[in-house]
Amino acid sequence: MRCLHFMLLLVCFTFISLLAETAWSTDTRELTIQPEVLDIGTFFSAGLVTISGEVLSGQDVIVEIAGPAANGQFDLKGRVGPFWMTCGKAEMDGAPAMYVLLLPGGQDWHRKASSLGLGLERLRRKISIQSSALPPDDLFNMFVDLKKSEGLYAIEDNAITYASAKNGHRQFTTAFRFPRSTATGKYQIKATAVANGARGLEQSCSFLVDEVGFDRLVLDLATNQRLTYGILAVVVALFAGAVMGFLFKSRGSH
Amino acid sequence: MPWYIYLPIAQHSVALPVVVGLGFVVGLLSGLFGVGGGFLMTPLLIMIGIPPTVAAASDSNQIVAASASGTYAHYRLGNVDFKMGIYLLIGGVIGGTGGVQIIRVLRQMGNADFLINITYVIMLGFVGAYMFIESLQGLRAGKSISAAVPVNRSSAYSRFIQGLPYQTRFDKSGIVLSPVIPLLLGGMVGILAAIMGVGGGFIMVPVMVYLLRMPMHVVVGTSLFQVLFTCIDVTIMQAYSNRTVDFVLALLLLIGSTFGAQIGARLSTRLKEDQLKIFLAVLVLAVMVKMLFSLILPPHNLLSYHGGH
Repeated sequence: MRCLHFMLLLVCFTFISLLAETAWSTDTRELTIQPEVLDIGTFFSAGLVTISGEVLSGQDVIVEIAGPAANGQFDLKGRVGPFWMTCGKAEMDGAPAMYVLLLPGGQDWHRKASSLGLGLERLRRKISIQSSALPPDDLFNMFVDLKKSEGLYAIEDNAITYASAKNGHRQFTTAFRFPRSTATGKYQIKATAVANGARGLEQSCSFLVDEVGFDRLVLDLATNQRLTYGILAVVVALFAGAVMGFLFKSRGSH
Repeated sequence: MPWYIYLPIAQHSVALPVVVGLGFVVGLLSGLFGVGGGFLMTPLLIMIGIPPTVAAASDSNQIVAASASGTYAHYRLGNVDFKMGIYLLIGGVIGGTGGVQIIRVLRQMGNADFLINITYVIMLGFVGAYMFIESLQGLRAGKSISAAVPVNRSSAYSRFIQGLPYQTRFDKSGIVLSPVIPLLLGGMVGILAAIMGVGGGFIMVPVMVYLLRMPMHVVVGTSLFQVLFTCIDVTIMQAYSNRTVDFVLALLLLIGSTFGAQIGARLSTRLKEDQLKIFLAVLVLAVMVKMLFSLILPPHNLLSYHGGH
């Protein structure tokens, strides 16, 4: 009997240790983002951001990038006589400035992601749309098309690459090129492990996109010191005109 | 070498050669044909993706730089009628301030871009058609009509002008006129400067020559003087009221347009004037048609960002 108790205790201990080890190993897995901050400076055109991490071997991973939520006002065009002009408004609360879904390759991951509650279906439920002009679903589709045309909303297939499994884990890497119309703010990056059609562990971290240097200075000035900025713009233009006039001894034009 | 530059107010990254090249092309046309480039610059900026409100406001800022050296040069030559210029300027400041407020209200309603585009369609259509017909007549007659003498004033027009109150003598221009005329003219150009981002020289010069009968050398200097100060007012007002002036964009355009204007001015001496004018007219009309199509064809997406972007 004592032996049986001992055996039971040993099994429980082993089981708890295994659970603890699993928990420990998932806790220590972190996403690595390169670069850590995306700076939008004078010569910014697009910024490649690389995301890497680990999942258990045999698992796949889906990576989501969501920009800062913004309450946006939109104009809705309609036909007035022969012209297309603004006829209505729409307000969208909680829509991220950017949304990217990076999928592995090889299977029908669009459908899988949707069935797992990831992707645009989930966004559709999160965003609050107010407009009397059109049904919310139609407006959402237009909104997604608008964002896709700017490269700010995207679903990319075959976007994840895996390294060979090691110690029961395999490393994944993905990259996304932030487009030139990227908004500044805090972005959320989430990696969801997927195995046998079910969601596994989620790893997430935040990532900053910031306007820096001269552009930040100009934007701050134009926003907070509007009159000073206007006068400065005129002074700079007059100076530039004088320099150009001196260089070319221009007679000028208008 | 970086090929892209981020415009902090437009919040848009643009290819550096495209923006400077655009300035160069418009400057080249300006130098070739002796017309201002403002009325072409804004629509071309819109076509490369700059929000119309930012394009118009930044173009005004660019015109400040472009007209500053010209005004100074004409001032030194004694070609500026300051009295006329001040009346035009008062009208321009009132008109420009009103135009900026019109843009502000329409931005809130969501139709500022529509107003800018439709104003361009009308103005480019008018200017392009006028230039095309005039050049065609010039080619048929075997000589340019551009140097034609001003039209005779009709008696009704004369009576109307002379009947206006506060008749004043403008010594530099050698005319007697009611200040109401330059005030109204300046006001109209000020509104156009705010809405279209143009200097307004392409309206001001023919009106001064044909309607006010001012001498040509004084017309150019006085027009530049008025355009300079109207655009200073519009730039400050746009920056203050609408936050749409991107002076990085303005400077890039200026660099391109200054070089373009120099080359254009040199090329213009070697080419036939009427053929060049027809080419410019076709270009202006093509831009007008492109803008017109953007207004009458169904948009790809009915949804757009409020206020232009």
